[in-house]
Amino acid sequence: MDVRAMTRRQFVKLALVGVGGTALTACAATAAPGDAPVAGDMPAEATVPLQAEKQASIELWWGVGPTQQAVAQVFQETHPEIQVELIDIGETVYGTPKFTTAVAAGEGPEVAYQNRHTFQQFSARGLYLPLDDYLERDGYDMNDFPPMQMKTLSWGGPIYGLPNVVDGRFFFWNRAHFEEAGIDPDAGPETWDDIVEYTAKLLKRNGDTIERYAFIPGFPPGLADQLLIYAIENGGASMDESGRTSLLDSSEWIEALEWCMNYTDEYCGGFEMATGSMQGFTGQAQDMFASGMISMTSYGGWMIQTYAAFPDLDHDGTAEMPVAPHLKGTKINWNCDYSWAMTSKRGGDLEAGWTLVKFLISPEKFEAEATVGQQLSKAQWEREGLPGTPVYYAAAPGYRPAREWVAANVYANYPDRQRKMAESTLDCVEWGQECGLIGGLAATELWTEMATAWQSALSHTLSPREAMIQAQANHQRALDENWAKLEV
Amino acid sequence: MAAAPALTSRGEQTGGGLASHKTRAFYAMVSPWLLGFLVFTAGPVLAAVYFSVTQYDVVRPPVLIGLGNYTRMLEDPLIAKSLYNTLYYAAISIPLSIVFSLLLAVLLNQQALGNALYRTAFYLPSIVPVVANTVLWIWLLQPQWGLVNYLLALFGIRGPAWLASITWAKPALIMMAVWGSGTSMVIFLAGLQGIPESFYEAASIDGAGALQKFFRITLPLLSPTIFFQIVMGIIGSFQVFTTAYIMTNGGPVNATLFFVLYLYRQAFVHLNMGYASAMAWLLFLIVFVLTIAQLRLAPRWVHYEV
Repeated sequence: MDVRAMTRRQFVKLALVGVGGTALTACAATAAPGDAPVAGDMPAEATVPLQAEKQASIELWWGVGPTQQAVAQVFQETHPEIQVELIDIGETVYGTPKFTTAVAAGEGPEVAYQNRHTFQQFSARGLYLPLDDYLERDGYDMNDFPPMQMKTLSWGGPIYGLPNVVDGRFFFWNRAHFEEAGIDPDAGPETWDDIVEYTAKLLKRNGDTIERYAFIPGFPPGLADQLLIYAIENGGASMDESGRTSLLDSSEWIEALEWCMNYTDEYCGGFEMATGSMQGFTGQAQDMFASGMISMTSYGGWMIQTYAAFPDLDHDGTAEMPVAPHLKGTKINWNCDYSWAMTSKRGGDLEAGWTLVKFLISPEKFEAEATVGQQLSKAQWEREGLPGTPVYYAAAPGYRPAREWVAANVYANYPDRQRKMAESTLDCVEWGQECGLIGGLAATELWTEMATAWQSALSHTLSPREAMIQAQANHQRALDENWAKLEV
Repeated sequence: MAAAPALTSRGEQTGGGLASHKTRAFYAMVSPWLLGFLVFTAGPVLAAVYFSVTQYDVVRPPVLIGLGNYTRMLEDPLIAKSLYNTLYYAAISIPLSIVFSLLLAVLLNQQALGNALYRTAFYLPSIVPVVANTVLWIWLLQPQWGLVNYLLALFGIRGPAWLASITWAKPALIMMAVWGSGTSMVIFLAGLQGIPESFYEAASIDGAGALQKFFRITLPLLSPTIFFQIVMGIIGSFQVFTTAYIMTNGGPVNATLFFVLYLYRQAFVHLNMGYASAMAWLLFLIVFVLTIAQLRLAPRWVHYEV
């Protein structure tokens, strides 16, 4: 065989052909016939294919940790006709540019894990596929899904997502501190007045410094949206029913901010000291509540497992948040939740995607998660030499059969105290306010404005009223712009 | 009519043919970089010009709005605030970093025992990943238990809340920037070692003291290096992002909302790509004007020849 060395010219030609060919292939691949619609071309209701094709290959954008891998593996084993590729979606709190750009280009995944803040914005922008036909065809009873959460997952009629979990805020208190202060450790504060009353007994000062905080309204520092929970605890709403008018300047918001400001000034040494004291304590081992540096905290249900790993922390908690005095007796909380959505993908297999969504809300999926989660917790308990039963916290599933499975098979195995706390989060699924609805079409702007208003008032840069008026103006402008964009 | 290029016995072109062959080979060699530059740098830059005159949220096609994004910037109070924060940061961190790194370089240029160890120690912060550095500084600046306030307390000074303070958050980030000026120190050190020893010997014979030698020999001969540091410092300072993003996210009350952080927020949090593109062009314009001004002023104080 005659083999000759490649000349530079041949190399350059070959390279150019290669680059051009790759580019053409990439373009051609995005225009195959029979493709699924892409964002912007979305039909009002997607047509439902009758039968899943064999050997379908689909993408699931989610996390890529051991739990997610276990879920994908179980799905694979039970659905050998569908090949699932698990891909890291990245940061999901406000949606990611990676996700939005991919979906806009028709290259998104068949199924994606989504957070609640931007769900309505993305639904309105046509990023998701409607699921109504699938739900109807497969006989789902919509009463099995939390109504508030389904409201977030709907836009203009159609349903664009199904719930994964509901995870509410959670109020923890240190039982040992309560007992030491002569407060009943079996019940947390019911109102803001109770918090102030308990504070007088729990707070430990040493001259100008505070040795032990009773409560810091801004704790934990990683959650920039603290103002929201106090506004809700005071009966506030972020928007009117239409979702077009911002209500951030309503008296409920102003009063809530005023209460937080006054409490911070009087019992936390002011904004700078309170914020500074929390600096660096967002990790687990250094958590201020876990290390006994603060007696009460408004945190999240997900901390049930974290705090269970501190054997010296004698604590309790509830999903019923302390409320403004005039709302005493009202169950108030706000649910943070995650969901599953299908997106259009050129050449994507929608039926296979729907099969995956059904699995992801099912008890089988939560069983797979719990199996790995419990193993990881057990390993942590052994590694750290922790006493007692390992606790794996599973947030309450949105779909009722899965929720019942978790209650019977996960929560029932917890130690008594954690079981009570977990049952409290289950209860909250029914009455908690919905985070996704709070954001509406200007969620990211709302969150930014809440953080700025909080800092402005607590640092006395602006009065609570001025801070909320400014926040409302900016939020309203964002709402107006986003509604106007829909009408273009 | 030009004669056809002659061929050698090996088939290679000579004369003009060879030059053209070399030209083609040159372009073939640089084509990977050139293609990368065109696709990933020049393309986006040009696209940003277009997007800056549109309303674009990634999901839907851009809608032309003329100069709407630019006029909006005039009305947006956070544009002025973020520009002020950035200018404040640049105006203080650049001179401080230059002075600090120059002093370090002069010290480390002396023949002293353990010089290599000192050079390594001072350069070390520059090679620590910025996120690790930032997390470290969050702890150093912790008001109650942090090392910085502990050291201040030894001198009877009650340290501020640093990152939680509207007054002190920017100086805290500047302090971090100065601490990480090891790269500048190395560049100055290289510059110092390029100054012939004979100049200092001659000055000593003429009776010049250490200060005179520093101001009459070292500084003038280092002026090209200082100029380089100023230009790069301005470009770098106007792009400050990571530390503020991780440590304060622009707070408290927008005290550390730097221009690029605000641009990022508009682009990747609010998905206002059109507005963010206009902001990017404003940033380019500012850095361009400042750099041109530096280039114009340079002949007055930068000495390139001995």
